[in-house]
Amino acid sequence: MSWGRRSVIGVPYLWLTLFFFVPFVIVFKISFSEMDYAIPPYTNLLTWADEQLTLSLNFGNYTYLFTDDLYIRAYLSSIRIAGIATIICLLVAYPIAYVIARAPAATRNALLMLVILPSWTSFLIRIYAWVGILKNNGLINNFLMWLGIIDQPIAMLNTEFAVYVGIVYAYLPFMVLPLYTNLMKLDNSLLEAAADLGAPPWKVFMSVTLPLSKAGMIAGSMLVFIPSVGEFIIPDMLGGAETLMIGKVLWQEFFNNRDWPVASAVAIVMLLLLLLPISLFHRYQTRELES
Amino acid sequence: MTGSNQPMLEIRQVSKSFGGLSAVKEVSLSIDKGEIFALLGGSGCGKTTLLRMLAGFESPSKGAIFIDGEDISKVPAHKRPVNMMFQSYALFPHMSVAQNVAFGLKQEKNKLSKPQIAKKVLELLTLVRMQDFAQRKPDQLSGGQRQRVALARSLAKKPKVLLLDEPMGALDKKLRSQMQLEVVDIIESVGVTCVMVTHDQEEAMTMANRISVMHEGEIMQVGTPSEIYEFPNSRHTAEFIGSVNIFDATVTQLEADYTRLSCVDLNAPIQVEAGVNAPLGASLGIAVRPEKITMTQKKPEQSDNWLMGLVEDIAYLGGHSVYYVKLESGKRVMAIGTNNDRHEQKVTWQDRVYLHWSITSSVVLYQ
Repeated sequence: MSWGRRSVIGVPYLWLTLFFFVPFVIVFKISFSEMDYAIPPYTNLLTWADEQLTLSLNFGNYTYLFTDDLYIRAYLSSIRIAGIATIICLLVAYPIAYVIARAPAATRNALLMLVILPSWTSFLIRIYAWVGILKNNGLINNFLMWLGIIDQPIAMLNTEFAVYVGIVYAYLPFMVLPLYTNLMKLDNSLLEAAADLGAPPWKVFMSVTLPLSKAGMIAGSMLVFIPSVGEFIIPDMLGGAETLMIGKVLWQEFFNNRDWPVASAVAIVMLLLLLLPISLFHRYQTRELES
Repeated sequence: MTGSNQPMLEIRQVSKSFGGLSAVKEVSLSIDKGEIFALLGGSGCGKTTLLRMLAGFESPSKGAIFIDGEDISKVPAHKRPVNMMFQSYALFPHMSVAQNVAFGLKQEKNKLSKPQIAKKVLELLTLVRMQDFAQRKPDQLSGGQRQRVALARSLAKKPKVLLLDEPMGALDKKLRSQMQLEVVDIIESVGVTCVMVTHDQEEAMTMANRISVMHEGEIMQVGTPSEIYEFPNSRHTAEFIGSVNIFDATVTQLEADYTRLSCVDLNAPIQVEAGVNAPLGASLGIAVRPEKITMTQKKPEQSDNWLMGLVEDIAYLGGHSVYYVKLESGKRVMAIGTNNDRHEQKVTWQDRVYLHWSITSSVVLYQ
């Protein structure tokens, strides 16, 4: 292999090693240590004393996760919220992607731009804007009260509803783009063939478009579901104290309790939980590529 | 309403324009039951647009389309008694061969029961000799196999009119000629009326009973393959179908049993059959097919219909050779010689040769 090819392949590997694998090993290591009042606030796994090298692995952090049901509840609730948000995202994004893919070439790019445009602003600011929209004397409540539809503000901020709004809003482009790419590739003559054989438009959609866009739906769902499970900013800013998500628990362990070992264990378990959908996705993808 | 002399498909003054550009101009055609009809033309001649209007994927800007006496111009594609075999076959990649063929049957209002559909699918697959591949997916089939499946699928609903869009377009040359005859056999055994679109004149002549030559959205000529070939009515048709030599000539003599013309490119006058519908001095085109020209190395005895030139090029094609003869004026004339003697190589490059043809071999072109 030439030097050029080596470096082309080497650069991404180096990147992944430095910024993914090394931090992961560090977190993995911390998860087996004990909390300590020191800098950094955990004990070393390897100690040298009396001419003995001792490796002490503390599994207590992991067993602790199962003694306090806060963690299990947080995991389950994260998966549930991320799952529901992914489904809503899919339902909202599909028609958007479909319309963009079917639009004339000239308007297509403009429409795509509209989907991507919000991401040009800071994520934090966009979520903060939703606080202003959803709060009791915010945009929606004020408007509804001005119309006279309600006379008491509806509590939307600091509910799970607000978290769904936030996730669907923030992750929509990640669902729209893979769906769009997939629907763009859909051969129009297949739709014509289905119509030609007597299928009315809704049936053409159900029997041809939908099954052929499965790969796009799966890819989009993964791109939304996986980061949503560990989402911190959205549940923290929009979900209030009621909403339990593992990202928030993680933050509290790290920064409020300063318990880095337990926090690391929480992170490792989350990663293991996400490995399941990721590997399923990977298996599906390789199968698609093979056929 | 006996329908005995009523055409199966009637196209009445149909026009279609896309944003001011007209793709099909005032086309009228009438196609009988059981006919295989070809729309033949180069790309952009409007043949595909016309076919798509028959299928219901485009609607005519003007005019009407009747199938079996019924105006279907406003009927959506999924309700028309018409099925199409697509150029790319458009087989559903996520369905098996059997599911593809069954798709149309499952859409019918009075749906057949599952075993009835299965039986029908098997019949159709047997018809196209694909019964052993029922469970395969389209991407596991060869081009010819895919075409058979596409044909079975488009015949499944017993359409009144079957549409074929460039039926052999996706096949290689050898498979093409074999499939052409096979597809015709299947279509004729079913007895369905068929309209096909093709840019390949050989394909149209092999498969169709009647051909309509289209050019720039208009129909130039309609006729049987031999009518179109032997009696082209325009330069375009003559040049589009097969090879042809066209001489620009002026009428010099109008007699009861022949007409004589002069051509600046030729050493002798041209003589054609009587009945030329033009006055003295009119400019006409005289078309002579290369296989109707005889080549000799001696000056022919006839006074008319001959020319002299040098052999500029010889295309040896096995069964026959095409000789390109350059005249003094610079014009090139094609002649075909059959290679019936293995050793004989009588004419070679730069030889002086005489080409001649009979009075009945040429066709007068008015436009």
